[in-house]
Amino acid sequence: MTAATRVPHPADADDGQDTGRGAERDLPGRTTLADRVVERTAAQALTEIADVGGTAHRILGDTLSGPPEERSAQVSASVDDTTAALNVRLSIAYPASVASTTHQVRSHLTRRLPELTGLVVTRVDITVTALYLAQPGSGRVR
Amino acid sequence: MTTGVGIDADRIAAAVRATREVAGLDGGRYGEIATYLPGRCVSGVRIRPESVTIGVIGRYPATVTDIDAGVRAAVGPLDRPLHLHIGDLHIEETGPNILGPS
Repeated sequence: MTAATRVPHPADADDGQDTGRGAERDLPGRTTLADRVVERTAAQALTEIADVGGTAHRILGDTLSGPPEERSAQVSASVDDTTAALNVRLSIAYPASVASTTHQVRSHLTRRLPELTGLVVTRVDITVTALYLAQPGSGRVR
Repeated sequence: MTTGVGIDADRIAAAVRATREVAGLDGGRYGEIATYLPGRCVSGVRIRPESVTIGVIGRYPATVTDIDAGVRAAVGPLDRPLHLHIGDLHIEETGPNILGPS
């Protein structure tokens, strides 16, 4: 939510956007991201993982209502030039393994965030705030 | 296209707003990205002699690279550097879901 941070352009941006890229090469300019963009992107990426609280599509901050599986995970990011360190608060569906789920969260975020924002993830701190019981019938996956 | 030193803030604002990857313009944390014209203000576009700054709200799942390329393509060539600030992301409530139909 604080200072904007400089993000370098990935040099290999391919397909089709030649006009924009060309203009950028002639007269370079910076692209900056607010921390909030990284936080929302990470929270959204977490919804792609099964057994993590926050599988329903809600915007970060709207966490006071609804069962855990429908809330968003809370993410705060501290973004440095080209890297991001994340602090994640999430809940996990009860029978799922906490160790393997958090491992999955880390590997998913370190893969997805660079894809979406161009930032490298240096650290993911995870706080598991609750183990929730998946409601039979409502939270079932496939 | 620019003529001389003048750059039309309204044209840039309209072009950026029409970009698919952009959900809207963003004036920055303190509303500092703005152009003041007689009687009104174009928020999200700041034109200075040395550079142009555009603040946008991205539209998830567009990546930062997509947003950047889309905005720069929409604005077209300028006679000074174009800085882009992504101040927020707009996330659709009903995105593709791995869960089954509710």
